[in-house]
Amino acid sequence: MINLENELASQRILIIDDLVEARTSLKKMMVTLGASHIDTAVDGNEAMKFLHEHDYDMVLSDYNLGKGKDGQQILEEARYSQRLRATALFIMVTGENAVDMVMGALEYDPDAYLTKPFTLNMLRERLTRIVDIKSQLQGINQAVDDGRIDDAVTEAEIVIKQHPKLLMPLTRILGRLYMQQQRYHEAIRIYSDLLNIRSVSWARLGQAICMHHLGDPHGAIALLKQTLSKHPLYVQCYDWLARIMLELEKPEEAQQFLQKAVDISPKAVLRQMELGQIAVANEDYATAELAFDAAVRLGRFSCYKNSDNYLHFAQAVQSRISPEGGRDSRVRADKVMRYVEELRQDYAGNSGVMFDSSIVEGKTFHRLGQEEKARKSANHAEEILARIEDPSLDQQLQMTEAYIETDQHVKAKKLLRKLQKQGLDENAIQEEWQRLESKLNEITVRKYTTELNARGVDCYEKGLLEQAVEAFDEAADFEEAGVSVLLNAIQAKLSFMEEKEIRVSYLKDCHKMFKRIGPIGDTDERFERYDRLKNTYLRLKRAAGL
Amino acid sequence: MKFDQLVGAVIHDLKNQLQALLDYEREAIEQVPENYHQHLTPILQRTNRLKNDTLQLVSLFRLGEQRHFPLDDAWPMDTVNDAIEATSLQFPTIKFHNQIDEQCQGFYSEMLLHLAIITLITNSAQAGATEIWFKASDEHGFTITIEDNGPGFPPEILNGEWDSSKREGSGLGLYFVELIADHHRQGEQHGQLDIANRTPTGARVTIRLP
Repeated sequence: MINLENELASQRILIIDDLVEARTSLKKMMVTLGASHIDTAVDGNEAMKFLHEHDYDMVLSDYNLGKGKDGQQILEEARYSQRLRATALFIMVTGENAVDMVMGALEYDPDAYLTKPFTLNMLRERLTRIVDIKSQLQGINQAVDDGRIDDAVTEAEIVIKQHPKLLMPLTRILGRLYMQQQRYHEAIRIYSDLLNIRSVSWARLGQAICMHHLGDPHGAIALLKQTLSKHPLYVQCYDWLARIMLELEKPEEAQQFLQKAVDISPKAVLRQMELGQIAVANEDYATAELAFDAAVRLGRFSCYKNSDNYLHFAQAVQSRISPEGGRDSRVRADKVMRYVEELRQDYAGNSGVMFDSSIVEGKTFHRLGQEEKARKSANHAEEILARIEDPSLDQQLQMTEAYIETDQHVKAKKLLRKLQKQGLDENAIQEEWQRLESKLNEITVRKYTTELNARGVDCYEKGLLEQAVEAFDEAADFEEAGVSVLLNAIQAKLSFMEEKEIRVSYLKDCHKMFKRIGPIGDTDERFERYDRLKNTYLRLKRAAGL
Repeated sequence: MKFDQLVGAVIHDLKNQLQALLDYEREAIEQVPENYHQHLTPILQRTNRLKNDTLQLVSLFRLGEQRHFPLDDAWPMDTVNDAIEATSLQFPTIKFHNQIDEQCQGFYSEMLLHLAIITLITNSAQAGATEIWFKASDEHGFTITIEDNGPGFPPEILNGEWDSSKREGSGLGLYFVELIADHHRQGEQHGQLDIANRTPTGARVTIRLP
C-alpha cells in the first residue's frame, strides 16, 4: 500500500463545501494527513475559477452545495472543459441519505464516494485505498491524458486479467473507452463479465446504451426499465429512455421520462434544456416555460449559460401573453423584457443574439398590443440584420415575420422574393417560407380588396359605372372576396346594363358570381338585397332573350 | 409532502443533531480538567449510543421503503475499524482484535455492513463479552466473522427465534443484521447470517455475502 502522507505532501488539493464548518474541518483533517497545498471553494463558481487557474491532483467536493451547482455538475464541467486530468482524483462527499441518488454517474463518474459523517481515521483509511487504486491505474490514465486511447485500452485489458480486485474500476474505464471507440459489442461483453458476479446499476446502464447504439432500442428500453425497478432514483436511466423514445418518434413518452429525471434531479441545466425543447415540440408550452426558466436560472453562472435558453423561454411564453391576459401575462412579459436586457448586456458583441433579442422583444410588444414599440424593436432588428454578414435563412424569415407583424408588408414581400431566388433547401425552411407567404398574401389581399371595393363604391356613387365595374371586378377576382364585394360587383354590372346596354358577358359574369355566393337564407340580413338583384338579373336575362 | 418523506426528514435531522451534539461534547471534554471527565463521559457514551441508534433507524426506514443501497468495492478491515471506533467509547473495557487482512476486499454497502458490525459489537458487549475478534475472507464468496468470549447464544436464539420480542437486544439485533445481509443480492443468491456458539464459551456470528 502507498504511504498516504508522502502522496499528499506533493499534491495540489481543492476542497469544495458550502458550509464553513465542514470546509475548515475537512481542511484540518487533510493537513493532519499530510497535505500542504490546499485551496477551498464555497460553491461551484468559485471552484470552477480555481480549476481554471490551477492544475489539481485531487478534488474533494461535497455533492450538495446549496443553491448553485452540485458536486456532480462541477465534476462534469471540470472534465468536459478538460480542466481535470484522468490521472487526477475527484472524490464526491455525500450525506448518507443522498447516496443512492448520487451514485451511478456513468460518463463522468467520480473516482470515489465518501459518505458523511467521517472521522479522521475513516478519512485516512478511505483516502489510502483511493490513492492506492489510482496509483495502480496510473499508466492507463496517463495514456488517456496523452490521448493514446488504444494504448490505454491495451493496458487496461492486460491489467484486468492480472488484478481481479481492480475489476470494478477497470470495467468502468474500459467500458467508457470501448464506447468512445464505438466498440459496443466489446463494451457489452465487459459489462456482462462484471454483472455475472456484481450487481451494479451502472454496468446495466452501460449495456443499455450500447444496445441502443447497436440499433436495438427495444432491448435497451427493457434493460433500462429493469434497472430502474431495482434502483428507482437512477436518473440517467430516465435520460436515456427519453433519448431513445425521441428516436423512436415518441416525443410524448420522451417528455414523460425526462420530466421524471427532472423531478429527481432538478438542478442539471442540460436536462432542463432538453425537457424544454421536447415540450416545445409537443406544444406543451407550460412545461417548456418552466424548463427554460430553470435552465436560465441554473445556467446563469455556469459553462452551460446559453442565450438560447433565454430566447426559448421568451418564445415558449408568447402564446400566454396578451393585452387582456391579466397579471400572469404581465409577469411573463416583464420577465421576457428582463431577459432581453440581460442578453443585451451579456452578449453585446454577438450580433446573432442581439438580433434574436430584438425580434423576441418586438414579438412580445406585438402580443401586448403595443404596436409602436413592436415596430421600434423590428427596426432595431433590421439594423442589426443589415450588419450581419451572410445572415441565415432562419434569421431572414424571422425578420419577415417581424415585418408582417408590424405592418411593413412591402418589405416583407421583398424579403420573401429574395429568399425564394436564393433557394430554400431545407424542408423546415420551405415550410416556414410558405407559412409566411400565405400569411402575407392573406393580409395584402384582404387589404387590397377592401381598397378596391371602396374605390368601386366611390365611382358607383358618382355615377361612373364603367369604372365601378372595373374596380369591383378586380376585387371579386380574389378568391377571398366576401359576399358583399360580390354583391357590389353584381349590382354595378346590372346598373350598367340597365342604363347603357345589355352585355351577354356581364350576364354570364353575374351568373358565376351568384353561384359563388351560393344560397342565402331569408333570415340573412343580406337576403333582401340579394333577392332584389337576383330578380333584376333574371329580368335582364329574359330581356336578352336567353 | 408525503408522510413517509416527513418521517424520513425528521429522522435525518435527529441524526444530524446528535452528531453535532457529540462533536460539542467531545470538544467540551477536551476543554475541562481531567478529574471532571468521569462526569461527562457517561453523557458522551449515551449520546454516542443514541447516534448509533438513529443511524440504525435511518437504515431501517430506508430498508422498509425498499430504497436502493448501492453496493461497491469495500474493505472489511476498514469497515471493522470504523465500527470499533464508533463503539469503543461506549465499551472502553472491551478488547478488540481486528485480524482482517488489509488486502481482503468485499463488495457490499459499507454503510449497512458498518451498522451490522456495530449492532453485533453492542450485542456482544451487552451479553458480557470482554474480547471480540474479527475475521474475514474473500476466497470463496465473502464472509466476515465476529467472535466473542461472552456466554454464547441461548438455545432459543440458536434455534432461530430472532424476531421474538421477548428478549430485547440480541434477538432484534440479529434480525436487523439478517435484513442487512439479505439486502445484498446477486442473481438468485442473497446474503445470509449464521450463528453458533464457540467452545468452551463465546458466540460466533458469520455474515456471508454473495
